[in-house]
Amino acid sequence: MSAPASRRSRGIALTLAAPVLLLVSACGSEEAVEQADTEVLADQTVRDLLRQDDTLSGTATLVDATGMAEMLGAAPSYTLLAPNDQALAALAAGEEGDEAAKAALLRGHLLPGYLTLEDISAAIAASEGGTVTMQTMAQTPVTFTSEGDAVMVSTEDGASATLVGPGLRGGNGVVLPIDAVLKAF
Amino acid sequence: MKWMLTGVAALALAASGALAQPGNGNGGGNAGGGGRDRVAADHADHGNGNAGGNSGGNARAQRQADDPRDRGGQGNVQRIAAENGPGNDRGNGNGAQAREDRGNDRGQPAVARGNSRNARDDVDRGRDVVVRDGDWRDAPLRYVRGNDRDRDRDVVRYLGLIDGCPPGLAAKNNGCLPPGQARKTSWLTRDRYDLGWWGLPRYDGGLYRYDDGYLLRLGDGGRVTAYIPLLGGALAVGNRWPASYGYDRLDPYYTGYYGLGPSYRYADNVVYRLDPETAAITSIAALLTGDDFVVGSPVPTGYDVYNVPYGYRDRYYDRDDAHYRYSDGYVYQVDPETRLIVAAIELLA
Repeated sequence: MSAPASRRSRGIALTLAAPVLLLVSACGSEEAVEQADTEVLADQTVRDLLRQDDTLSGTATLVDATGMAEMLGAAPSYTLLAPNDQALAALAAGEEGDEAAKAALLRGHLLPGYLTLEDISAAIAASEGGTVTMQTMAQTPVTFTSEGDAVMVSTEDGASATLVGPGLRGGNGVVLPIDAVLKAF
Repeated sequence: MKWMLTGVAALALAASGALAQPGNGNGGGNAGGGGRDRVAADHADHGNGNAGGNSGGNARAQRQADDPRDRGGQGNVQRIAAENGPGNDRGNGNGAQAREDRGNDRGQPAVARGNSRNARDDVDRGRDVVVRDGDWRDAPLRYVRGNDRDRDRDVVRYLGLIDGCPPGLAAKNNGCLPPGQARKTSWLTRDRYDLGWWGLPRYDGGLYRYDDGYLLRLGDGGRVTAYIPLLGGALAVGNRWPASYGYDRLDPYYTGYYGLGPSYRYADNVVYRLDPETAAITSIAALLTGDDFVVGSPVPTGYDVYNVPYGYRDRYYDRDDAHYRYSDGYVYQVDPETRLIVAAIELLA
């Protein structure tokens, strides 16, 4: 997670929100993570949050390319498992064509509603087998497990990723960065 | 970000619904307005049903052909609508006005109840109650209780294949043979035939090939017998909607919740907004899970994590005696022990 300079240009509400993000990104301590867990940028949408994070520019591009930006800027709630730029590098996000494939990919990274890392961890802790399952908007499930302090997410076809940091919470949804693409290629 | 400003929020509401923010006055008034619209729409749509619909696939076709004014077989609809509007009634918790609407179709049982999961117009709505709290900041709600297994507020799961050959391929006059070799890019390193990969796991199996925004179903001799236009591909923003494809009617709740506007199409759990004049796709309005949440039935798999939208978390939080899960515009109350769905709660921003 980082604090891109572009964030500062986004107006008053953002200016108010920025110090918290800067704090979180400045140190990876548990304190900062806890603070992030309770911080909701209620005036920001998933689309906004994506565009402000330098490490998620590839996913932001995907959202635009597949026509989903408006949806992720509207009120109905989605949680986006956002592959970071390193994860997407191999897929050449800027490549022409095959928008249908990109849309299919993105769809498998979207979950219904508002899931925070806290919620996921709590559900894992409360589960019997240490695994919890969520439906994606691609009608396929993803499974969350924990390994030490990390939370992993995996799909039925064998793809898996680790959640990177506490994520970003907006008013209409949550962005949970992950370090790999949840799709087999 | 602009929609945090009250003055602009009305536009946001019109375009895509408003964002509920508990304890935050911004935009709340507009949210209440949306609620009133919702109630009005409901009243217009209930009663006078035709109990139409057949079973299975026929019912899906029926849905398309139905007159939009006919909502089939809706039973007794009981509502309690609070009259508190935005603004004037701040802080007043009273003033609820009970109201009961009886449909005219009592005694007209729906056809093929229970075995036409994709037909939503042929069912009884059952009993549902609109409960709106007095505070304008609270979102209006509708509780759906009791056995409404056959309710029509669900969306259909998918649409189905289009027979024949997609337009581009048909124009080649080669007998509808797929291209000799699929394009190879880093996004498609092999022919994609796995329907699950495309987010279409509920289709029947068969031999499929991806080509240029379509999944092609291949029949004897490798000819294309049918096709599925894909999200982001043939169904990309700017493209014309395939004629007579998709559903143009969802429960009014969805049109309000997702801000669908005057023209939309629904297919394969995706809702698209269309330009009413040109039928071009203007935006993707919503992705839906299509999961079946039925009061009295177990919660579907895949909802292990608390996921209630931010604006409703202070009211619907998991407790010892009640869990809450969100799916496709509804929050569902779930009994933690039995995993049965106790109530469906509409969320109107």
